[in-house]
Amino acid sequence: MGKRLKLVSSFIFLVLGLLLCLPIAANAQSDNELTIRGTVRVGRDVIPDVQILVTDAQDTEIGAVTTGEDGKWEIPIPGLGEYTVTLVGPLPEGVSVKEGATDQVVVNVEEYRSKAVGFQLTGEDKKPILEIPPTWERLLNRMVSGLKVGLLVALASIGLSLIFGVTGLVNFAHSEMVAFGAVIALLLESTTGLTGALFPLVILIAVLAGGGLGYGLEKGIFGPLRRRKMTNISLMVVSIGLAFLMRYMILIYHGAEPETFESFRIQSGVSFGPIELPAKDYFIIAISFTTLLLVGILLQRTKLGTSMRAVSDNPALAESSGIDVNRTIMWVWIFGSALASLGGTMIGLTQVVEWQMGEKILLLIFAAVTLGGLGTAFGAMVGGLAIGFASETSTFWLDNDLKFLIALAVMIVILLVRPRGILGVRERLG
Amino acid sequence: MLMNLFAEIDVSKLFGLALRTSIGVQAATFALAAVGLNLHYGYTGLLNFGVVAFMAAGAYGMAIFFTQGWLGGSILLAIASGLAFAVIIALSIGLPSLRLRADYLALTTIAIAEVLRISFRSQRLLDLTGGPFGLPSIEDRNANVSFADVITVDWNPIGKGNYGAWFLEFDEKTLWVMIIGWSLVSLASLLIWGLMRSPWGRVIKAIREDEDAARALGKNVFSYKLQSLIIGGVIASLAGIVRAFDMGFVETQQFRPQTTFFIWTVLILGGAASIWGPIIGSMTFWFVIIFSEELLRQMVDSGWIPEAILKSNDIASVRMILMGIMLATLMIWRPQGLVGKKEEAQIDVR
Repeated sequence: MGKRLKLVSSFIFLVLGLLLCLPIAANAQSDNELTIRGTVRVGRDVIPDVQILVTDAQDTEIGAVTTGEDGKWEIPIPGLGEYTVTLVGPLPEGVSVKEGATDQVVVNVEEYRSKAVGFQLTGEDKKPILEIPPTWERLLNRMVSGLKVGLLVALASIGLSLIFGVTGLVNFAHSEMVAFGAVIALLLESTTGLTGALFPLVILIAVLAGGGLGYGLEKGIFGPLRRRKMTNISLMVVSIGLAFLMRYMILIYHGAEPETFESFRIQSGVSFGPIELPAKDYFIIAISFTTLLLVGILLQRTKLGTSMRAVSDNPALAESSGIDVNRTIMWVWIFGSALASLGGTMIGLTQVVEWQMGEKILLLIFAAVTLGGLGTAFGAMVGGLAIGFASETSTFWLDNDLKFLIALAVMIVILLVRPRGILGVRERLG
Repeated sequence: MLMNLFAEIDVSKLFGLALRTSIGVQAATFALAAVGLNLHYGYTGLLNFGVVAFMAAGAYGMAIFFTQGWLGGSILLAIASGLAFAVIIALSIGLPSLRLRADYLALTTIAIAEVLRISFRSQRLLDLTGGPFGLPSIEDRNANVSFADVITVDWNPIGKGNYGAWFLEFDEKTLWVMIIGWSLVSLASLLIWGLMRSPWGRVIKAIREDEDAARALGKNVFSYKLQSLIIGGVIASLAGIVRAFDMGFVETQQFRPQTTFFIWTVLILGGAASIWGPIIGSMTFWFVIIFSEELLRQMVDSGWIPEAILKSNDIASVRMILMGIMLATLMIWRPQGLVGKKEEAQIDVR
């Protein structure tokens, strides 16, 4: 295709994209819609920047918002029925849910009018007026939590990118490997009572289980199929089937109810200069960051890491220089799946553990690896950080339900403009 | 024990429900969408993972035009605008991304489909698309007013009443939409049949087999791919429109990525690159799904499967698991499906 046609088509696409965004940007508010609303407050003080989530009886997410400056929130609902409103947090320092009350309220909307919902919160030693932090401070906080989400997406994405690198497979079941980690961790915590200080043990076992899952998938499914000379496209379709199988197995055996880890229920915030986050977030950021560093060292400095990169670059050349390609691929599956499991557990810590979490993160992961460059682990890290950060920070200006649009738009533009991504080198044109 | 099971199972209901669904509107719409996808994937080799974007474009294009009452709110113009919207979607997917390698095309199409769905769902488009509630508005739906009325009530040539017997008894609305749906399936299949026998079809198939060879013969591969995308897309959008008429409303939940993969399963089950593939695929698919769901339901209800293994409200998930297993195993052991040719069903990426 000629350069001009390419230019013209990019232009048309851009214009169409803008056209699509135009009505979105023009805020249209209808006044007689059915909503659930409320004000998050402690005593007489309102709390801004707290996330509220509404799900319906089937646990489909109806909407999520962050409370405004005045502590108010409102989420439209599709019709009458039972809804669960969850206070996701974070709550400011010293504020917690009253003893005996919960962070989840079930409401039954029986008539066509907005329903008000309140949470019973209590402030430590009746603190005086809570100050609403200035805008820049809230933006800073949003950016830090964007960093956190970015680290998590990076963790979850590395495996997909590495597996693509060594085998050429776009694994649609990868996001279910992420969900698997979270569900296993939750199951462990609730059945073994490994809570509080023993929780790292839960994470460790979940990571090991994730590695086992990767081993099983390569040993039992993808390895043999690859040796049968199935094409990568066929294998991709197989992985889609596998994704549905896993997702709905999780639904049946984990249940439709979103759950949170017992050790990390609603936490009050911990301040660090102007930054205020729940205590668990510092923990999550530290663990994710360290893991990513370790992954980098493993890839750059160890023999296994070198062979992974070699197979990724050129399998034939790697094989002829004495690298056991099949063994390397096996390790990539184990390693990538373990990282996905860790990422899933961490995502479960920050939000909720639910059967749909794989479906929700799948396109974020795809966006991350295409942005960074499919096949490169460092690309996945950079892409994950960027996508997570951009989509999370965008909620400061945009509606919460539009944050995925940012990620998808980035992915589409990257695929069209620079298909090999930021760090990729592969030829992607057909 | 086994005797006991047979005594508990209502065989008539089992076959009746399965048969009913396999000739119903749902099967017709899935077949129609699969005919469109068949042109993309089966004949042209385009890995379109955004089939649902075309269905959504057709359904929403029609519903928005009608509920907004543009140009007097004629239903025929509304349908035409749904089809036009599908062409726009085909152009905006195709112009920039048809150059991409197959797996990247797959990612781009699935992403564009999600962008479309999330935009339709956005609170900010509430006045146009009804946001998460869809169209028509809640008030209209409570008053039983829908864009489907003109087609299913006013223009319905079938007198009021129920037709057929046993489990195959349909009311006049359903019967009419079924007739429309299956007629469109036949017309679309005929169109594809004709196209594939024409010089155009030979170029399309040549592109699937070897794009560079087609290019070397002086064919404008990009343009042919784009035409294929548009024609298949319009057919798939008709499926979205028929489904909207059947249900009487459109909602973004109907257009989640899983619908795309349902249609992929239908196509691969029937056999890609064959005229009968989508039709046989869709009927078989729905028969198998409903049959197994109903069998499981009866086995759970009669206590044959203990609650600990499967609860009755989990049975709906079994459909998705079955779909996943079907998709994966077919791809491994029978990529040509029920009626396809093996040599035409192998798609590779160079």
